[in-house]
Amino acid sequence: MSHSSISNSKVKKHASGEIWLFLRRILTFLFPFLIISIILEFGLWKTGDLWAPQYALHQQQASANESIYGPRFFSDQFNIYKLSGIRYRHPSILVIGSSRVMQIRDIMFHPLETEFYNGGGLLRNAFDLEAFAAMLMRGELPLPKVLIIGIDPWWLRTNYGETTWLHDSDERFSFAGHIEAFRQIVKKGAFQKVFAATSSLKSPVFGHETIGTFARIDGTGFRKDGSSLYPPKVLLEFMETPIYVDRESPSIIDRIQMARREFSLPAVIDEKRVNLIVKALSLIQKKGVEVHAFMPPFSTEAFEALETSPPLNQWWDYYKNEFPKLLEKNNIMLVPVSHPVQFDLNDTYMFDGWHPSEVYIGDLMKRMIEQAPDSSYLKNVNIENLTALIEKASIPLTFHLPSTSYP
Amino acid sequence: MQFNSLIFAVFLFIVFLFYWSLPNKPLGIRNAFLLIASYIFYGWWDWHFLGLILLNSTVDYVLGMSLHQTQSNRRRKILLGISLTTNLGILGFFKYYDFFINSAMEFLQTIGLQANFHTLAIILPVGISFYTFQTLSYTIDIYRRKITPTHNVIAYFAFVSFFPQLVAGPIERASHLLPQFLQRKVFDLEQAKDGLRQILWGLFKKTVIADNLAPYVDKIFSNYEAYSGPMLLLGTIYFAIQIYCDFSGYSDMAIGTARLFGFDLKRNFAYPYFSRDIGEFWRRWHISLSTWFRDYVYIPLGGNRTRTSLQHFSNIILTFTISGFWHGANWTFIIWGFLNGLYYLPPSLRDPHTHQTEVVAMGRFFPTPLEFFQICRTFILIAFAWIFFRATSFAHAIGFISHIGTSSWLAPLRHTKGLWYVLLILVIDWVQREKQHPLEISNLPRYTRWGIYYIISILVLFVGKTGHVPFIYFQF
Repeated sequence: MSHSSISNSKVKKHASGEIWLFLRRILTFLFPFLIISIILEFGLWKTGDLWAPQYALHQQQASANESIYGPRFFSDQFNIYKLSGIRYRHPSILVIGSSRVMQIRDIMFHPLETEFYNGGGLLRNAFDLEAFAAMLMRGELPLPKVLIIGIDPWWLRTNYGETTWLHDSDERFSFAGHIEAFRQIVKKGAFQKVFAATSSLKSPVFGHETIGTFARIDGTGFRKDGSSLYPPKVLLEFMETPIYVDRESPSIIDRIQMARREFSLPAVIDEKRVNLIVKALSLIQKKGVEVHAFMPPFSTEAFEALETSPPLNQWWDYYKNEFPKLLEKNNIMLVPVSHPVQFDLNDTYMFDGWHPSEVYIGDLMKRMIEQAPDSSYLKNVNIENLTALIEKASIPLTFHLPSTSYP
Repeated sequence: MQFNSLIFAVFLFIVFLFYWSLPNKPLGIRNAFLLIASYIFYGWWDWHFLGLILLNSTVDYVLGMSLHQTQSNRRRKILLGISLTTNLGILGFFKYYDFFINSAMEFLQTIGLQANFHTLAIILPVGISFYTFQTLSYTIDIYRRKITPTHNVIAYFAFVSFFPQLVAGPIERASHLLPQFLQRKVFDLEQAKDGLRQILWGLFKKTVIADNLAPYVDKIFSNYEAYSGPMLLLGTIYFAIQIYCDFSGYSDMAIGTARLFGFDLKRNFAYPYFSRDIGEFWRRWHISLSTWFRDYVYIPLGGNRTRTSLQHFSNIILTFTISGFWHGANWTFIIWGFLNGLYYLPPSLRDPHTHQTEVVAMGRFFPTPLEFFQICRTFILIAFAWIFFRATSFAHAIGFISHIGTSSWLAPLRHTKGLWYVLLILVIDWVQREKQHPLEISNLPRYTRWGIYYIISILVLFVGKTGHVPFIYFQF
């Protein structure tokens, strides 16, 4: 063996030793991050937050009892969950809209409870409705017999969401999504909550079966029918002090008065979006689906602020007065925008400035059923049952009271 | 596949392991592997454009050989012309076709003629401006007989498409990078460690500083009428820092990545915002592009060896204006370049041998009042020019600038959280300004170093943006 080949092989050995040393150092450096990640991932898996929405939905629907789905750390992904719910339940009566329709429940539609699903939260703007209609047309979603849609005023305006979020990308499958979840846990000091949620399987107060940290710790999330169960803590607080509190942050009245977010200026009607909405609903109707539109209510306080805010006048007036005429012209039935006082109620029938309680929205559903033509599938709903439900409601916020005190 | 993504981290790890596991002999094996890896990296954006890189590489490889073999000056000029036409033709078509058509239509309309040419809505292949300049420099240098062409086709193709610097530089010269592909590589632990540090630093600048300033900049620039004068100035400062951290962050990651494979790329940024005059700024900002324009545009135009000062000035203005146009097919970039050319004129009046070359306040912690004034003056001029760079149109830039003067100066400042990011990067850069990059801290005790690495990693994880905001220079 020559001198040069001996030294070459030494250099090679030395270099490969250095590579392993380098990799070992990297691994040592990353070790604490890996350990923390593994623990957190395990915790999130145990709570159900990390479950793919489709899997979570199947688990929830397979449960014999009521089961609440409320993930906390990947919570922005319920579009996939809701779309899966529609596909799974194949409902005859489907509710869609923003979070302002999530209070509509299956029990309001007795005896058609099993034919009902609430897809509330799926639509945030006109482009979402357009995408939803396209999915129905392409057969990607089952066609319901009745579609109940809540239309928010900001769907008609410019500068409010430029694209649809009805896509299938799940942040659980992205590195960024996991980093964001870890950040939330660290920033909100939620380690304890995650680990408490790994061991508790039932929700507090109501004792429902649960999937996800929110459901397990705060007792809130989606019921099997897709409707939203509000935190029992809110209901218990209301029982103690039965007053109206705007629980949104910032409050809706502040948003209106300070022209923020949904009420930002200039509030101008976007004809393109208006046409998109009408076109989408007409297309769905042409497929033989009964379309019932309604304008989710505001608290009386918020409604009055909207009425008396000059910069919002043009937009609000169009939504309240002109848009219903346009829908009527296109043979789309509508329950107009309202506020509790118009129904001899008060703002305690609102969760906040723009989310009606289930009792109030039950009343609106009753009106919708009553005004529906005799040929409507909604006429199969037992209206006496719904009336009794509303009249016998425990408190203005809910039909059913939490039976135990919140821990 | 962006440098600030998980997929790139996985890709880099696999390529690193395979590269160093491959035998060192024959030389071509590792180069071939790097070439394949680079094409996978590029194809990840859009595999359709791989053909362009292949075309560019092939044309210049063949022309380079022909140039070297040909003695006839006339024929050499023709060959160089073919190289220039092909490279600039492809670049011009993809980058400037629509711009010229739109500009022509606007011009004809202003003189009262109705024109309706078709634009093609061409998608710009990522990195085309960078690798075109790299291959151009290869043929020009062979033409000037500064280098001889390589016969190693794999090494040459790997040089053109080397993935760390393929999409946004640094723009390498064949004389510097190509010989590195012809050397046998032995893993160097210190070089790899420093490479990793530079990657970490680049990631910090991109995700923590640039990406956190980006939303403020976007809000302020897109809705400038709603902001007060001081807010618009703040937005301008934010953009100056954003683009610096975005682009130099990318360069740091590119240089660091190359070092993991035993390659040394050119330094691209050297703390430019601590420059005392515009000349110094351009010796510290996007160095690989500035020197490219100096060597292949400014000097061939005559540089400063001209008969008249006017000619010298026009060379400067022309070089800067073309450099602005290189950045993008928009009048805003052209004006940005022109403005920098104007700024450059006064320092160029001075004796060229009096250029600032040393790091400011070398050996001292604080600058002198004069140095501080000079740094601030340079920053203000550069930041002003950045308004044109960031604006979407000339009218937008003018509207923005005029609104600074006409809007209220009494409204309270918003988005001030961004100032913490500005302060953080300026302080760190200032303290470490004598180093190649601020994480060059191998002289510190091990535990201190690791403490610093952990702090930066935690900041990247918990403060950095995770949504993979694209690098600004990818659009060029």
